[in-house]
Amino acid sequence: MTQKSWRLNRRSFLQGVGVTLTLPYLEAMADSAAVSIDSEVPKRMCFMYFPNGCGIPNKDKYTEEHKQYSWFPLQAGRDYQFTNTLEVLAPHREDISILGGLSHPKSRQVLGHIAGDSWLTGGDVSGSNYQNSISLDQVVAQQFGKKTRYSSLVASVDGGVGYQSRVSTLSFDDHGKPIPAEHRHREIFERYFAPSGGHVTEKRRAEIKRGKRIVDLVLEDSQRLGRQLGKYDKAKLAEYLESLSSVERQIQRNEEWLDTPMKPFTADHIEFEVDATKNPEAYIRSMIDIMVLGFQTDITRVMSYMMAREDGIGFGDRFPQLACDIGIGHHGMSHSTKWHEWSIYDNWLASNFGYMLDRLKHVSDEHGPLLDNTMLLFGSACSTTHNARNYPLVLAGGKNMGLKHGSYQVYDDSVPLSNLYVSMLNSAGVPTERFADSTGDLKTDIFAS
Amino acid sequence: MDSCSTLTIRLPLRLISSQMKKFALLTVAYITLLSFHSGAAAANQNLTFQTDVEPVLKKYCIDCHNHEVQEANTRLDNLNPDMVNGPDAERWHHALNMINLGKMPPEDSQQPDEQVFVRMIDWIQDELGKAIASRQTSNRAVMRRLTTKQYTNSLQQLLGVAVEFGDALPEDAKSKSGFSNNGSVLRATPLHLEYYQQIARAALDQAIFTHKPEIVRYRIQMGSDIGKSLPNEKKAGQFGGFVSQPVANTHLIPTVFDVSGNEVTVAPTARQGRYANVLRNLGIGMRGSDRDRYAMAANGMLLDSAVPHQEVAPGSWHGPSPNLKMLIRRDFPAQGRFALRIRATQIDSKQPPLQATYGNTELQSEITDGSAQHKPAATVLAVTDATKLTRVEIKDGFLVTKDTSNPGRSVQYNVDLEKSDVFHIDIVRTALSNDPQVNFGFELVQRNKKLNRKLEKDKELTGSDLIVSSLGIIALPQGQTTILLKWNADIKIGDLALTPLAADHSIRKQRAAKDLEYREQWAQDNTRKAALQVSLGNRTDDGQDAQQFDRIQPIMTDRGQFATYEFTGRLENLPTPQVDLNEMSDLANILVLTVWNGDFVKTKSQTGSQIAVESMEFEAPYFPEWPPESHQAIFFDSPSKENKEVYTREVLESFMTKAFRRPVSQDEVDLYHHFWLRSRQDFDTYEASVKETFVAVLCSPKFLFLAESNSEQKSSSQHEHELASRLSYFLWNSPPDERLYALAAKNQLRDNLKDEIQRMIAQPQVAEFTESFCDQWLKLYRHKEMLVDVRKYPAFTRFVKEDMAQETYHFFTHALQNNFKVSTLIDSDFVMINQNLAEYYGIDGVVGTDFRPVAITPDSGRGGLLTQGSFLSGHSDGKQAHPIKRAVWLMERILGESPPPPPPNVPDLEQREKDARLTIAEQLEMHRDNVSCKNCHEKLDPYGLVFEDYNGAGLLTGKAGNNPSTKVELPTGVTVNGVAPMQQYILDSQQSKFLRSLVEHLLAYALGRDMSFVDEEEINNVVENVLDRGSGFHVVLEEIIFSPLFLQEQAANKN
Repeated sequence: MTQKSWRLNRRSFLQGVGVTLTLPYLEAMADSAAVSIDSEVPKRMCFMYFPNGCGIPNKDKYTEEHKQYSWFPLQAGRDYQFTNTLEVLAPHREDISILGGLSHPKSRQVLGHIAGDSWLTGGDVSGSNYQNSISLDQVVAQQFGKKTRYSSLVASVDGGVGYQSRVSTLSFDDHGKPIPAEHRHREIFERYFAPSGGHVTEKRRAEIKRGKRIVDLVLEDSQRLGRQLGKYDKAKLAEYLESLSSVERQIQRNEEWLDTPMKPFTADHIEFEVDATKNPEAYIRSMIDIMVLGFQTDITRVMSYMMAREDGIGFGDRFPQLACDIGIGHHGMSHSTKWHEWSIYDNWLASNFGYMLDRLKHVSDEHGPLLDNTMLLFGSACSTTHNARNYPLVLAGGKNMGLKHGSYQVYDDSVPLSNLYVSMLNSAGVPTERFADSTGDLKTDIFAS
Repeated sequence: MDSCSTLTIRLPLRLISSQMKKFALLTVAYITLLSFHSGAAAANQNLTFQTDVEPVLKKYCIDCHNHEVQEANTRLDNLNPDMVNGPDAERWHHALNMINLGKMPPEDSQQPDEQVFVRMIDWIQDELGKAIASRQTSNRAVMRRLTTKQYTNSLQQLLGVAVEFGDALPEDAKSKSGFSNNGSVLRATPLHLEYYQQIARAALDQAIFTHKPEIVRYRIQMGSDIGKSLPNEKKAGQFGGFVSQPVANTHLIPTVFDVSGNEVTVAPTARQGRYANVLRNLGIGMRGSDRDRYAMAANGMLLDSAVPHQEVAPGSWHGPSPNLKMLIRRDFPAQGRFALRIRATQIDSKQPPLQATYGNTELQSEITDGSAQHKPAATVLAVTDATKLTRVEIKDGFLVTKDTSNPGRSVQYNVDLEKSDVFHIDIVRTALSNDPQVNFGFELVQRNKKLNRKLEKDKELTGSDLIVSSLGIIALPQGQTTILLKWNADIKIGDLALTPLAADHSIRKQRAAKDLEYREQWAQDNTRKAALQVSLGNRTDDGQDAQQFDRIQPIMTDRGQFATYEFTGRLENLPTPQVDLNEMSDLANILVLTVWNGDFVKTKSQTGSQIAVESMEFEAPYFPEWPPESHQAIFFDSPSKENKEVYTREVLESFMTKAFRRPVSQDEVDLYHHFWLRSRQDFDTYEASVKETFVAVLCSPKFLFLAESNSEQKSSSQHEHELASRLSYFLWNSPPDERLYALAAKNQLRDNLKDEIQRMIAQPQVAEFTESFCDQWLKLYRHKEMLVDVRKYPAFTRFVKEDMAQETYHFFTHALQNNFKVSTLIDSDFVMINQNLAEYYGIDGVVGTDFRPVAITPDSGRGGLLTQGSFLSGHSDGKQAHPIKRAVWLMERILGESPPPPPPNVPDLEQREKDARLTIAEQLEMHRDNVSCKNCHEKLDPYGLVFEDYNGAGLLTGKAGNNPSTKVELPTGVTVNGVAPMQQYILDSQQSKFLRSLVEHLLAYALGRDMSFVDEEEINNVVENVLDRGSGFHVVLEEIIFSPLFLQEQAANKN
């Protein structure tokens, strides 16, 4: 199969492609000369976020509503019962775990919206020195990114970084600075999926060439220095030389990447010109399709997607009206007792995650269904009405990384959310003792020990 | 100590008379050294491990120190007897120390025969001696990577750009003794290398310029109504949002300047969209400021002394109150140097205004025979005096409702009072209609003073008779003023009577007393010295992310005389917002530049000093000269400037010489020159091609490492340059300066070493040494990392915390620069504080923000490192004092002992005794009752319990000596009660121990490696020499620098 032109026809996938349809080119691709630098089974991670928390009617005050509309299932364990809200995830029951009671201790005191800044970081955003830190996806990207064209894809509905306390990205670099999110679907596609990378490739090629020259020179200079040193210092220098060669090897790998053609793919099913202000469902699912395609072609193994911004800022606040015909904004809803409406909207948010799971289950690469090699986390950074505790969280996929799903598990305040992140990192093959304020790994049977 | 140095102690202390033992315990430091001397004599005895050591160990030691039982974490059954080649010399050394000290075998166990024991000791000493001799050379020079801070300082000095470059690097690891400059733990990982390259590129972009970047320069002037008449497009913006306090743009004049200070008008058509008008993107806000603490006046914004904010989540971090914020939306750079210029002066302090209104309703007027009677002294405002009648008219001598469409009705009176006074306000009116339906009320307004009187319908008289109501009491000013009267009922209004309060009215007395109090307070406040403190940051929805920069600047001019104060910083060092032009929120993309009156007061009830701020101006990137010095220093003038190949050699040689901190060989230059030749065609400009070559220079180990040549033919110039680097990274934590290089080039540094040490200590860069050394030696980083509970300790603000660290730095530097005896560190008759910290500690009479020595009384509970807040709060748990942490600190850091390590799997104190709700001291007492814990804690706890007078925030909790917890018996048998006796105890009998600890830590820091048994002899020499020469601070540094360990002369000679 030859490479398709990336100038696409604009047929809307919504018209023609059912959600469970397996794309026909996949089997063919599995047989084609695999275009992968290392043929190891990839490990992937994906994060999806929704703002403003979720509906949890108080059990005593709104007993009936609680049974129907509480975001969390009714009882913990394997025999949990979905309420109306997460019912939409029932088909994926064996591929998901629902986690209750977790939160970031440093953000518990802050106004719920601000906790969004630290959902993936566990950083300290509670004082007048805003000290955010690297996000989980970027820790993974530092490791996995060396094996792919791009270290990660950071996306959000609104794009950019927003501003501190109301960011519009989930991802932060190792200085705790927000990484601008992408949100123009066509641009994302043209940039990340261009057959030869277009101008990006040329720029990278120049960078690599420069980096290589410098490492060569420094290596030579270091060797000269080595001749003058004593025994002990020579060992010290050898350590530096080892680091240099490791950088050199990385440069070589990057260079090889540039000459490796993209895996063949089709993007006919993706509709790029959806207007978020008219059809949010089509808009979000178009992004999800791009993400799935990204995993399938292995351009990157790490993605984060913020499905709307906190506090009624940006497009997302109108989604309830546009997608569910509910006459109140998401933020307004989160301050109300319109439990029924809130549940409908929470259900819609979860349905998009369900769509993602569905796609990953039915799309494969040469290593099988994408879902088995992809760990996903879906959730928010506060529970009902801006209380930055008891985050709603769904962990999914990652069977081949040892994840065993099927239960609803509840933790108390003594367990920082970062413990979950430690467990996720270790399962994904990024050996980690600590992440942010973790106190260990998560005591659970989800992860293979 | 002279007598001691001739004494040879060879026997275990147990075998020496008890008097001897006491003496020897006090001079522990010398014993091992002297024992070594004796070892040489014993060499003839043909002792062997198999015959003379192994059996003794087996019999007396191994029962408690084997593979299963390891008392004190020590195992003796697997010691390698080959100390020269084996790995266990250090462990042998430790065992020998324990025996020599008489600690082992324990007194209650079987004791060996003296002859047997002496033979074993002699053997160990012999072998140790051989080990020392064999390691002396290999252990000396340690190649080490520059620490993050050294890297930053080196790059800053090399490029002349003050960016905190090292912030991007991973944090340095710390060695066993707590130092981050330790060669063996300083690794250069691949991650470091990627960063070095990245940082070098970014740094060179800030030093070398191919063209002048675009510069923004904005000023906002402030004053009542000064912007009122500006046309709309010239007005500033107004920045609203959650709990904002914007200043109306009628009080502001915004101006955009070009770089030479000429006003620039940006054509309205030049920019489009939401924030097209640049001036509208400039504004002033007072978010987080108490409204009573600032005011807009004709000459600018007036700010009282600021009250530091408390950082309690959520939402209380808007900055000290009051603070004045210059807000710039969208148009500002993200990096480069910037300047903030504030035109300000100090004016007389504000006297708090006396209360102006009172709710007392004491009727003065009355109705007699259907007409109103007023007191003779009353000023009566008649119906005909009313002006600006709103929804009312005058009819039959009353103000009556004309228009009932709206309940509100009002009139205004212009009054002219002979003198200011306090008045009862009575109003003559008719009662409400027969059947009142609603409550109603009056409001009387004079400027910002208001009297409100609500009348309840049930209590209202009915009928149409005239009645009088009191509205309350109000203070009115002398001269002309306007009074507005509002009411909301359908009644007729007659006279308004202003009756002065009787001379003996209680409110008059109350006001007089308050007035006197305020005057006295004012007289005191007015002696305070105002200062400007600034921060830069980022607006967040519920607060801000801000960081102070530059220094505090006291107001220098006379009262009322304005002057401009310039503050500079680097945008990349501070939380500058990341501009996202797609972001439409009103709160986004705002750069916040804040100034406040840094003459802090502790509570809102104090006014403090007062400043007036006339204008704030921001310029970025800021180049005091063009091209910048950094650029000119690299691309200097040269006759060969036009011949690029020749010139580049010159540029490279000059840059490499500075970067490698020594003269470079032609070979070395060739290597880099060749690189430039090969890569130059890849770059658009000449400067860019040179930059690329410099990136390589900055990734070379010759720049990144402190490496010393081991070559046999090392030239004296090499020696001198290596010494210069060693010296300057020790005393300045930075590369050598011009003078050190010059001396090294002339081979004169070694000869002038003593003078150079003096010169270097006197230079301000010595603060770099102080900070770096104190952070690590005294574990000051613990203070910085500690989250003190601000709910429990409301006075512990971020400014107190920062000043505590500054106190320790200033104290250490002061003692060092003034060559005080090092015992000053233990106890001093002065403290180094500023007003903020003085008020926190409760020390009177310190005015101003600068740190200075302040004499203290012996009972003040302060003086010396042991009483400083940085140590005390850093060794708490954030809520209460932590005796264990404090004990370990005192033993390890000050006395140079190794406290017993915590045994594994022991639950936290808090875990076990949590429910008992005891203080840590009480928990420890319980803990000591436990037999298995007793042994260690008896040795440890006393050293921490003496500090129990100081709480978790470093404050004295009561009078020293009253707390029973602080009375302790030390393991030596001495009883001390509290910190002052502990200080005395150290000074009386532990001085040499302290000195040795200081020397060891200084040496470990200076050499970049942990000290080991190999270094003992030389450490002892330093300690002895220092004691001989009187223990001055300079002597300590001199002896260290002149020791063979530092000079590495012996090592070189031995080669």
